[in-house]
Amino acid sequence: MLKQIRKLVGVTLCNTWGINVARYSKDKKKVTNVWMLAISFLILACMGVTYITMLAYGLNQIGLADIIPAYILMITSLVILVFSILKARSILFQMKSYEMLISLPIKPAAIVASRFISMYIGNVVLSLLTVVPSSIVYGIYQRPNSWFYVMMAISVFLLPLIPMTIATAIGALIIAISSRMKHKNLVTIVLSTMLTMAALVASFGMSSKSTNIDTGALAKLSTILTKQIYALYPPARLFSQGIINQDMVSFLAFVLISIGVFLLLVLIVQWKFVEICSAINARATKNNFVMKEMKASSALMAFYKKELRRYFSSSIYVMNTAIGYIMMVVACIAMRVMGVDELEETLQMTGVIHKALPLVMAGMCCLIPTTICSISLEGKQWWIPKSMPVSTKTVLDSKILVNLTIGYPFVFLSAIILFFTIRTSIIGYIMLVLVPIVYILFMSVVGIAINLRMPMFNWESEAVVVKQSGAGFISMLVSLIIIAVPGVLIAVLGNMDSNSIMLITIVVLGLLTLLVYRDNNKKVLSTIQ
Amino acid sequence: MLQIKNITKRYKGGKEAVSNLSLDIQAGDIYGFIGHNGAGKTTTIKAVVGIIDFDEGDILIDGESIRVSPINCKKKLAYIPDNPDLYEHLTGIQYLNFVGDIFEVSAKDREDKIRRYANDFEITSVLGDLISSYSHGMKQKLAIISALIHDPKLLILDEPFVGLDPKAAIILKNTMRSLCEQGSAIFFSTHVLDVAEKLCNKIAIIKNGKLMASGNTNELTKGQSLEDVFMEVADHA
Repeated sequence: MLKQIRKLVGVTLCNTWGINVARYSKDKKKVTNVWMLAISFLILACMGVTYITMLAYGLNQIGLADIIPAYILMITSLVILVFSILKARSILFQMKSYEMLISLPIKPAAIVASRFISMYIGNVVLSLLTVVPSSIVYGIYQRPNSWFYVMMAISVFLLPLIPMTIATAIGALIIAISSRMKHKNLVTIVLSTMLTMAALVASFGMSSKSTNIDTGALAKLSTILTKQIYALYPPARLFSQGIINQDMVSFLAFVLISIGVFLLLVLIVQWKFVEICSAINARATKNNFVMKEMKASSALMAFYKKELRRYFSSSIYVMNTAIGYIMMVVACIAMRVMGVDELEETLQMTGVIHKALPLVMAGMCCLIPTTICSISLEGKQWWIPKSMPVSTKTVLDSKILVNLTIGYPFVFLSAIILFFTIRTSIIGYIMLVLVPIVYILFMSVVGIAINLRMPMFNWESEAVVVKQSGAGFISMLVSLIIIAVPGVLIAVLGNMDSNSIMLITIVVLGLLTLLVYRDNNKKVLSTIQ
Repeated sequence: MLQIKNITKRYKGGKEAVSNLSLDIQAGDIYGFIGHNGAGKTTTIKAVVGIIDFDEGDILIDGESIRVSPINCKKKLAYIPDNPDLYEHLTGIQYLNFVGDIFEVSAKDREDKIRRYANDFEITSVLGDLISSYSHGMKQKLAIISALIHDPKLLILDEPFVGLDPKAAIILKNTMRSLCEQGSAIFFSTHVLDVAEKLCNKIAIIKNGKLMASGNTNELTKGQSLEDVFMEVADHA
């Protein structure tokens, strides 16, 4: 069985990360796309490592070095948890390839195990990116003995197990609940959003407590923070005691619990695998259709309606692209309830909201536009628009319109809340609406441009397109740049009115949008494959 | 109606999938396109309907080049692929309505045609269900209906009989004949030589991307079965 698992994991990884395309494809464009994906991933990894290094350094500098391991465990676990909840549905419980594999002489347990391991490998990479830099910082300043490094090295492989277990259990629970409902996807989206928001709020809550430093109360703060981490994530106590106090019993307990719960989960999933897969893939059929009067619409409207239905048919697509908007509205409500000053402290953005609130809103709106994967998500159906008598513009406009339809109501809702929350000039109020609107439009059009150049039609799981595509990574980089540049300018040119900087930014972005939009529409769909 | 003029399609790496291929399909023709797996049938068909680009030559539909006036050309044709990958998140009726909108079929017209063809193919009751719940055959029937609702002048089908039940296959054959009698042209690929022999007035045989034989079915077979002719051309040419 081990041989089967090894083979299946190899095949899954080759498929997921484009390894075979890079090695064997004769299509230079596809090979370039794989390398672009790798480079984008590397850049994001570098940014993540920098963040963790600075975080560990900061904690060390304020005398909270002892909580670094537990803190890193907490952050890593939360990130893995959020990323794994939806992956569980689209990777672990994917029925399509299961049906093909089960007809071969492969044990079902091998299929389940291989899928867990494929997910696990990705999470170990994430764990490496957080544990290694934080351990180095801790090692440089605290000079622990060699056991610390041995235990941290072991921990890299253990950290993902518990959050993966929790994520899979939650994923299965969501499936169990939603499969009994009429609107399965809607229930999945709502439940997943609530859980993700809870995880994010928890992590922000933790961050705020660690940076709101009163130097006279560091010892007290350390105790509060430690207690909070332990309360939120009990295994952190065993882990921390094991690493910091070199308590072998605690560390062994952490090892055994991590491996134990994971193995238990694998056994349970294996036992209920087919039932869970069937619940996901079951389609209600009414078989009682009666023809009614039909209505005609324009080609653009037809494509737009089709795109909108496509969007809401995929919970992973909605979750990934709408989370920024939901966060924006939640932040606006929090601002109304808590006040701007307290929210700035909670989000570790002292002074930022006062100076560049429209930019903060735009940042939340434009990270992952729906357009970034809307062409790839056509998948095997890409032949339909290509063979139809419609212009490239009509097809692409419908995809842009969907992103605007999703994003703009959230912007207006947030602006209304902010109108009753903050006091600013008329220009300030206009900017609150105008800046996010222009950013969303820009990213919608740029998303199309990126996806046209890096399409991925041969996918088995939507998660690969939505979460792991090169286009997605490039889009995140672009949005970080367009937020960072005016952000830095506002910080550096302190004397200049921030509204003026934002105005110049949106004029530039508006012009760029126009240029990219024209270029997109010149593309011939038959050449995109 | 359809002129394929010396088209060549090379895939990445330089391999020629279709080599200098020329065909002339006229109104009223039911033109069969046969060949081994990988002979270049699907590539040719995809180039004709504008799904893939080609490197040399030209394709004219009703006198217009698919490269110069793709939208005008596509308005006149309908295409049914070998694998009916349709929008799974739409219901059958939503998909047909979508196609009707794109081809600008009036609401009344599309309603009449959907009613008629859906009844013929016996899928009216499931039109309100998501396409993802359909079997392969049902998807194939839906693809056929969507191709027929705008009265195409040129109908292009890639292996249309795969997955169809016997009754649906008979209805499709009759519909193809009826369309041709009304002046449309049909160009389709198939591996079922028996069907091609009985249904087509013209046939083309392709091997390794090159046209090996073409012409009127009767002239091509000369009293032999199409199976014998095909084996002869495919093995010895």
